[in-house]
Amino acid sequence: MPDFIAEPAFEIGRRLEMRGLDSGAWSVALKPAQDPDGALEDFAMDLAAKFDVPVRQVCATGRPVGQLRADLHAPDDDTVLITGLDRFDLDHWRALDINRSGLARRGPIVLWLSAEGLTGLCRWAPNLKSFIGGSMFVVAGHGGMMTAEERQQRLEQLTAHYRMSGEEVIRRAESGALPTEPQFVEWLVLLGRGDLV
Amino acid sequence: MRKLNPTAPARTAIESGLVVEGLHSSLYRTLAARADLDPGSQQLLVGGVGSGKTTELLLAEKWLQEQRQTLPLYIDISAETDLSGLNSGAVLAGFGRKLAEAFFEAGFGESLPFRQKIRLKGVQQKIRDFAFGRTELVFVPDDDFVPDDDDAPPDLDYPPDFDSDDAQYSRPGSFVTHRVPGKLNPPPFPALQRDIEAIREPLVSFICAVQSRSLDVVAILDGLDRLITPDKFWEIVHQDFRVLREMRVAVLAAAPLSVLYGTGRPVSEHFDRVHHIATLRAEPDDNSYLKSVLSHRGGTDLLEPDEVELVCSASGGVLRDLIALARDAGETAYIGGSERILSAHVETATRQLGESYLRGLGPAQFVILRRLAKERFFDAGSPASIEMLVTRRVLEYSATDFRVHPALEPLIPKPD
Repeated sequence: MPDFIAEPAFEIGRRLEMRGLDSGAWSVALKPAQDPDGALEDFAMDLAAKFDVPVRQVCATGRPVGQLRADLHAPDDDTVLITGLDRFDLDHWRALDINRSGLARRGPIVLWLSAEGLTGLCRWAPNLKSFIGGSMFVVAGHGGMMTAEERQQRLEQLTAHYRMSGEEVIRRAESGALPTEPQFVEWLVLLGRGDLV
Repeated sequence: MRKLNPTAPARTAIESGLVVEGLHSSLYRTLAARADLDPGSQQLLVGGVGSGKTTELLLAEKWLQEQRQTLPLYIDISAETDLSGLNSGAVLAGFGRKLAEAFFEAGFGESLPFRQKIRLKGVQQKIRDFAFGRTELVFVPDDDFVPDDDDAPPDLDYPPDFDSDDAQYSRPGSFVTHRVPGKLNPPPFPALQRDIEAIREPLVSFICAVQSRSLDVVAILDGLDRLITPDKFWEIVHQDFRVLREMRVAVLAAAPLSVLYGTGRPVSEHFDRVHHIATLRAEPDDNSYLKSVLSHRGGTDLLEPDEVELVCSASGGVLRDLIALARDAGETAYIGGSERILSAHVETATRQLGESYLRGLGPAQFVILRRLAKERFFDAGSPASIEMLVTRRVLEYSATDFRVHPALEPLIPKPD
């Protein structure tokens, strides 16, 4: 597996959220070699849970570029996970690459790739790769839900960053004084108080 | 941090005041002034991926609009059609469509006599047909027909321009529906000389109508740089560009970096001027432009001076990489729960970027990169070297100064 950062779906989702869900950000999620189909479903579900809206899967296999472009723009502001790119050869990647302007949209795009698919992208699609930059992440832990340890770690990060305890967050939410930023929503959910969102 | 968006549309970045206009010695003014003064001139803008070509073209458009001497038309062909199947005639189709739209949007049609306005609307439809195709009825004679006195006249769908006295209709036959493909519809067919002649007249109608207002037309063609190889670029543009020159339409076009080197050089010789956006200097004592880009986007508020230097250096002067590195370092710091962005966060972002450049390379490419890194040897004319330039693994600072992308260089494997 390539030497890219390993991150679970919710952290990749946090990156997309920081960029803005209307930023047109492009990223690559590198799928695990074992049980990639199961990992894809988990990954899509976790991203959807993170954003609280469905994540649309678009399979590129057998789709002409014009059709793919139409799919990405109907609508153009949701989060799209593009699959089916792993068997693309030079001609397929070049066709996508040449049409980068037509594929650009407001919502984020995540390419779901194997190591082989990533090699094709980096070799034959310099314009797409330029949009992605270093935003290539190995999907950690099969992209599954957070473990208890990950949950605790995240709660500690939030506490340190906002210098606020979990009790304080709940108290503020109950009094309607909690900011509405996504991080506070995530915090409440992690505390088991999604009812206060 | 949202200002640090390396994929934001260039027009949005300009309108939001996030663009440093003097970055490339006000290249956009040089481009625009030549187009303004010399109708029919043809200039290419060449630069690597992520170097800011679209921004320069849009700034040129804005400058020309402010001068009020021309009607500048910015057209990104790749945003409108499947460029991978593009063929000759497509540039003229995209240009004509935009010209007609801009003409009426600018209100030029309002002051025209009614007849002329209606005529131009009809001309606009012809341009649409050329771009997107049309359906027509074609008369097909029936060769097996045996005349019979009792035969009744056939019940046919007649085309609008049907003339019963026309000799071709004297024989038995029938009309069939025939689809004429457009130049922007997939799969587009190459424009034949007669297609080009057919579109010339409608275009001239609009250009004359614009010129009667003492305005010249400037076509600003973006997206053609995606046609990475010089032969593909030339195959698509040469016929269309010749027509634009004959019609005294000035052209500013983005072109692939490969037209500067090797077999691409003869292509660039067809143009009045080729402007090269060289990669910006990234050394600590010569990176003020890069810092100004970060500053314009709030990067210097997020990053300490040492980390700004690291980001500038690791970007190699590639603008899109610069912005992405600053953003990615910020994200990594935030996800790690850090109060501030540290050198380690910039290093993580740099490593990610370097890995992305490393992926897809093989032993032959490693030899080229190692020779450049160690011996400063680089044969810019060889196809393998040009591929390194096009994919930004190698950056060009001048005609003789080539270097391995600094994020990639430390990751090149050592020879066995």
